[in-house]
Amino acid sequence: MVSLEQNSGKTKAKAARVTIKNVHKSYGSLHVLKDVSLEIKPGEIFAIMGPSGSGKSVLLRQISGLEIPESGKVEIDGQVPELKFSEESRVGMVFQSGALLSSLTVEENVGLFLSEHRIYPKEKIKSLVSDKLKAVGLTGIEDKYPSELSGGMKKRVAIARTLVIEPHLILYDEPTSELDPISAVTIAKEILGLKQKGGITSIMVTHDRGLVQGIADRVAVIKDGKIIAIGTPEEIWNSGDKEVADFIHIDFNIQSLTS
Amino acid sequence: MIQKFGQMILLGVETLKVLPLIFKQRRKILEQLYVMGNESLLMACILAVFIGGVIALQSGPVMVERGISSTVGGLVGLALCKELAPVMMSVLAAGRVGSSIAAELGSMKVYQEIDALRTLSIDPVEYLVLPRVVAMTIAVPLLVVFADLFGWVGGAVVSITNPEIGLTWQAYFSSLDSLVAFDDFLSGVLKSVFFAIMIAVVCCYMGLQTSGGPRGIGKSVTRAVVYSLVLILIFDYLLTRILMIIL
Repeated sequence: MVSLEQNSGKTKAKAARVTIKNVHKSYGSLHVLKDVSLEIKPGEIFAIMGPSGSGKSVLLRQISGLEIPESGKVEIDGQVPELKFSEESRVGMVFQSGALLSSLTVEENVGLFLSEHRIYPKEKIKSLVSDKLKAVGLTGIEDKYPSELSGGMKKRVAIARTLVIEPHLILYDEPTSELDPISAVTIAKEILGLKQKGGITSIMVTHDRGLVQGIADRVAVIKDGKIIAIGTPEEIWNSGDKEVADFIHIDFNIQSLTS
Repeated sequence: MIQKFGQMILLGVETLKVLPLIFKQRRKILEQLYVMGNESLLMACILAVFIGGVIALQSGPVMVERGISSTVGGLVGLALCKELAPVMMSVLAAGRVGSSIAAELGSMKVYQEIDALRTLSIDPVEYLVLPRVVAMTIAVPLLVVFADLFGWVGGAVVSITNPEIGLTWQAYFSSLDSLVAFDDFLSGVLKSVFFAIMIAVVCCYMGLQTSGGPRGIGKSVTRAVVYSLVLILIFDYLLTRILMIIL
């Protein structure tokens, strides 16, 4: 039986420390992660950037426990991540598309963890769901289905679904992709708010330089499965390393493309 | 191919392991049963009426010619309950319900809904596969019972109204009653239970194995239906042989 202590909001939740040591992952002959090592501090907002296909999302899946590294290890507060919920290690994940279950309403989606594990009676689940939706700035959409929501709302509902487990660590896969600038800023504020109010550790995979500059404490740049730079956004932006600079400062000149 | 069958068997075993959680998933089982019944019952009854009718139409005049018209009811009854009802209802279930299972789970896989379930410590086998397998195992044998009844009636209507056969209602059903034993009826229902489990597991497996976007979903649906149909026909022979020994 899963038990779940809900945070009243007065105290900060325990933030998780993530340690990644020499992780290697391949699919067939394709080596996606090569000897990746990282240390993410409790309460930190850590961004992972890199070109498409560089292994960012795969790294996130190793941290979440959705996949197991071939060699090396991932530890969250000294424990190997498992998909089985434990009080000590509570990891939530917000997927790129939100990944809300299309056959369930917003209320059922957000309360899914609680209802499936029979943690609280229906009435308490309803009120908790309402609280978590309010926490991400959404009200009055409990009976709507995901197909009736905008992209930004879907992501906020997905964050609310994650908050229900009172996470110590939240993993975000492209949290601002496919969003208009206003929705992207709202999501960024949510992530920052969770750090400030809840002290939750956040790891986000993103291409959004504005988001990284605005809210990330540190950023790692990954290329061809290898970490090529780690530092604060300022350090990375001012990096003299050619590979890092090539990725960070790439700026499309439309005129040069069309001429 | 062998690896796929092995993985399907493993999925079946995993489903069996979570069977004690059937009560917890009762709401989803009932929802699935409703969907399956809603999608298939009317079609099953219409199919069965015409299957029964066509057996009577094809065999009736020949039997009348040979002086054994009194066995038309029994022939229709036996053909339906031992063979045609379980096979045709399973084919119908694979086409209508199995394909939608593969499409639904395939879409959930592609759009990371299954990964989301796993990160919430919810076992996809318990949450998604178990309700579908259990509902299918209840729905298909029920469809077979309906198909038997409606098929017999279809055969009766043709036997009575077709002047080349010209049987009475009473003669048709007394022949059916004397030739069709309870074991015959039972063997068809038992076969359909096996087919139902097989279709549900195959279609869930294909759905869960989906990759590569909307095109992948289409491929999974096609594979789910083709594998189900091939397996229904292969296991129909094997099960018939086994049931002939047992019953």
